Amino acid sequence: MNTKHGNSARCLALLGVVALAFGAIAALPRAAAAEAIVGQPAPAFTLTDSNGAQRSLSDFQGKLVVLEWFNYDCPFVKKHYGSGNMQRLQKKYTDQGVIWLSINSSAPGKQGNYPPEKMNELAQEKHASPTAVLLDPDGTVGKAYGAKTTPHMFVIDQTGTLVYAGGIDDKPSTDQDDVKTARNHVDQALIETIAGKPVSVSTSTPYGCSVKY
Amino acid sequence: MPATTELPESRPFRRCPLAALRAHGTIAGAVRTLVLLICLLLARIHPAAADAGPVTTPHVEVELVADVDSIRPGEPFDAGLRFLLEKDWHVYWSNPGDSGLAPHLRWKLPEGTTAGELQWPHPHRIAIGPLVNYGYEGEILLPVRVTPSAGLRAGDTLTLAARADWLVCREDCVPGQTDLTLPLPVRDAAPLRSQWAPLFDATRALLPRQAPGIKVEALRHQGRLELRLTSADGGPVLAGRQPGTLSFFPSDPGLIENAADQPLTFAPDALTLALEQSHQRREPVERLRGTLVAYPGFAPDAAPALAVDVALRDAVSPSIVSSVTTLAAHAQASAAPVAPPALSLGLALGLAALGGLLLNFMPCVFPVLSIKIFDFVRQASGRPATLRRHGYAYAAGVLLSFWVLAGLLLALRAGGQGLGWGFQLQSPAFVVVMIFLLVALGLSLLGLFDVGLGLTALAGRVRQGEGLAGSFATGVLATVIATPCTAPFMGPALGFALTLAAPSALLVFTALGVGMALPYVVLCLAPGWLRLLPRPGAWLETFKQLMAFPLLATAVWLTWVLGQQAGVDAILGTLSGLLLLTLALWLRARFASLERPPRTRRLVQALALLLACAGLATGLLVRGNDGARAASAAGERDLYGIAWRDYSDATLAELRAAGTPVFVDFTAAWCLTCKVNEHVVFSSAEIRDAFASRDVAMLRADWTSRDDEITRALASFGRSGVPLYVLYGASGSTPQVLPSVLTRGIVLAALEKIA
Repeated sequence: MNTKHGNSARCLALLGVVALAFGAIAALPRAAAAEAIVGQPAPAFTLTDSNGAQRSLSDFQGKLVVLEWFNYDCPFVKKHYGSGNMQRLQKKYTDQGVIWLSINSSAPGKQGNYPPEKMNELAQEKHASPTAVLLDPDGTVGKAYGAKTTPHMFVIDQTGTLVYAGGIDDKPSTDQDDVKTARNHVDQALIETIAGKPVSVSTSTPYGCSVKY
Repeated sequence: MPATTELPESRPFRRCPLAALRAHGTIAGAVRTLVLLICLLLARIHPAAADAGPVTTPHVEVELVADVDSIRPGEPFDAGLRFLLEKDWHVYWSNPGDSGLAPHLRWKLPEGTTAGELQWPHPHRIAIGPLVNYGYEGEILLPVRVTPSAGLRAGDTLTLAARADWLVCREDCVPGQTDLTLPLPVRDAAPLRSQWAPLFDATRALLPRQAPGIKVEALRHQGRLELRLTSADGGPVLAGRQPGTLSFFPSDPGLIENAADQPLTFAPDALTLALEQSHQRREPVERLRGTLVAYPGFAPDAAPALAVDVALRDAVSPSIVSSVTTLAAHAQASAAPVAPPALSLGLALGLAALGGLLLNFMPCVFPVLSIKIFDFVRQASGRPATLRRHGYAYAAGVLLSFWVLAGLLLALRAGGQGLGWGFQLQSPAFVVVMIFLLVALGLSLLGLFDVGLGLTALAGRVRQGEGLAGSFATGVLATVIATPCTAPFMGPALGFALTLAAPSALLVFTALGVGMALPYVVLCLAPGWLRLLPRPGAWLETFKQLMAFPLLATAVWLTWVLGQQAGVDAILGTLSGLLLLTLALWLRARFASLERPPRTRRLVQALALLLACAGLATGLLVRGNDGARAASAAGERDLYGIAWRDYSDATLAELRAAGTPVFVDFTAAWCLTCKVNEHVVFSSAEIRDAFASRDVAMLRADWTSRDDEITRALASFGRSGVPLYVLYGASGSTPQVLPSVLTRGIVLAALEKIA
């Protein structure tokens, strides 16, 4: 350790660290992270799903993709899962070939963050049928999309353009009865996109608990 | 049968057909008896009237209250929905912001009685990570105007009933709902004010109102939305005539980015607030509706909340305000006014250099540095050129380390983290690593083992180019172990540095490095001074071992800091890890010394390394409650007998609105200067009395762990580190920012100024 070589090696290692640090500062983009704006291409991402596989948005090019930010412990998410609303939508559209990605951006230790096996277990209990449950514990994808609430819904069309961003429906509440009388924006956006029509309501105020970054 | 709009519980028997009692022996009579029985049953199972007390639900007490004790038929009065929230929990404004849900009230009123809409006192910004909500903490009243039916008679009771539902959150949310009732007697006499009348008065002061003397315009200018306020008569817009904070709370969601800053451009007769339009919104915003909140309030009567409802137009010309001072205000409805940058760059450089110099005398650095100097005396006397080179190598080590640290800090800040100097100590992981490093160094100095500091490696190596790397490494090491200790003048200098652009900030950090390396470099450049040092001898070994103790003392203090941040379990984990580390070092010292065969040496070294890593892992992984603070609960007194309240923008605004003088102590468990200041100041009974006699509210902003609200509050004073002491006098006056190194004289003089 106290040999000439040891000293030189340490010195070089240190210089390497310094160089890396400067490189990191230089390489840092000054602008804010890419944002998800309706009418623009949806930001790319890669996340690990609850079965350990890597999933990228680019894997689903050419397909309709729905992103659903969720947190099973949030009363607003419970409203849609408890009433079967979310599961109904998931089944209806995955049966039609739409890719449904449920994303959890809760940070470790915060509400809604569970290990992958538990996520699978909970999804099964609730009879949810998304294409995949993606885990985003450091919140990068959530912040890239500007996901503020759970639930917060995004619909990406076959060209990779974001066509809907906002709340799941137009009745902000925790009351399950409101599900029946609300206009489900996601349902409508998907029906219109599948029919080749422009989405009539492309944004709405998302409601729910805050995403637990 | 009772009419469906009336509440049967108020007069159950009167409503039932008493005539049924007289029927007997006929089918009609039987039916009427049955009806009576049903009436009686209904009266029994309806909830009892007059449950006018608060309803206790998780985290919040909810109650229907009124500002009068009795009512007169047809005469409107104010009722209200009152929430009393548990500490740190909040409910939402009519526009909850990025998430959440506003409370609702659904009335069930007797016929003829009507109620208006809920009125909303101005909210506060509540930040949760990157999101911002608008809401209330503590106690909040939402008034409603109620007009009782003119058909009531004296002696009746008007029972207001409603179903309230709300969402109460801290970080997690709990929806709640309950039925509420409020019985009010109807009397002919003029109503008396109820016990809630003062709360109604205080709440009315916070309701948004029109200010006829103030003109509000909304403009689209350079891609932003601007609210421009001018006074109709050319006078000041704000009552206090000085820079304040101004925030806009939109009534409609989805118009502006709630989390964005609202920079304020201030001129004496006009204020301009810039808002960022919501990124998701594609159509331009046509109308801005909401509440403008300012502290100090709006002229002429200092009302804090202004109702805004204005159409947007495009700005046709550049800003017409003549002399404009642009200050970046933080969008919080707090009373922390904006201060211009605290220092000039030149002064900051000077302070940084001085701080660096003083760092050499901190218990973290002094031991290493002094050992190095003495070792050098032993080895290198008589070779001035080599000495100089070693001096430069050490300085290079120090400077590069500071640049790396600065680079890291600036990079993290650019990435959006709310950090300031001291950020490294806000991370329990860093504290654990420092504890291990300091203990390892201390044990090395005590002679348990040789950690390869390069201290003893100098033996026979002072030849050209040799050992320079050792000096460089010592420079790096000195900087690393200096990071937990912040010398007195470093704080303001670094805090200022972090508000600058990267090149200027790096310059300040360079000055810090230069200051720190200076004593060693001076000694290397003028080796004649080395002759002033005592000649080495046996005492040097004792000195070296003695120097272990300041290092170990620093490790003890850091363990206390760790306990504050991560709980007692973390202390246990760290101490256990240190035990493993000591075992590893002992094994290596005893069984891997040079006289052992090489294979044994390699084996033992590997085992020792494994144990040491296991020890570090134990220290890092065993955590107590994450971010738990040993902050005293409100009302508890600290060891000087002062009852501190936890700082929050909302609390400060409340106290300022009430005209109370406030002393805010921005401190952290790991900030030695803070602790010394607190001891110097608060151990004096004279000072404590001076605070108490002026009824000064004592707020403590504990920055031991990351707290974005406190980081922003520090930034509004141009600082990014602790300590910071701010004394607010009576409402409307500029707060006094006290120096970082306090004396009793300074504090007393400041208190005199607030009379």
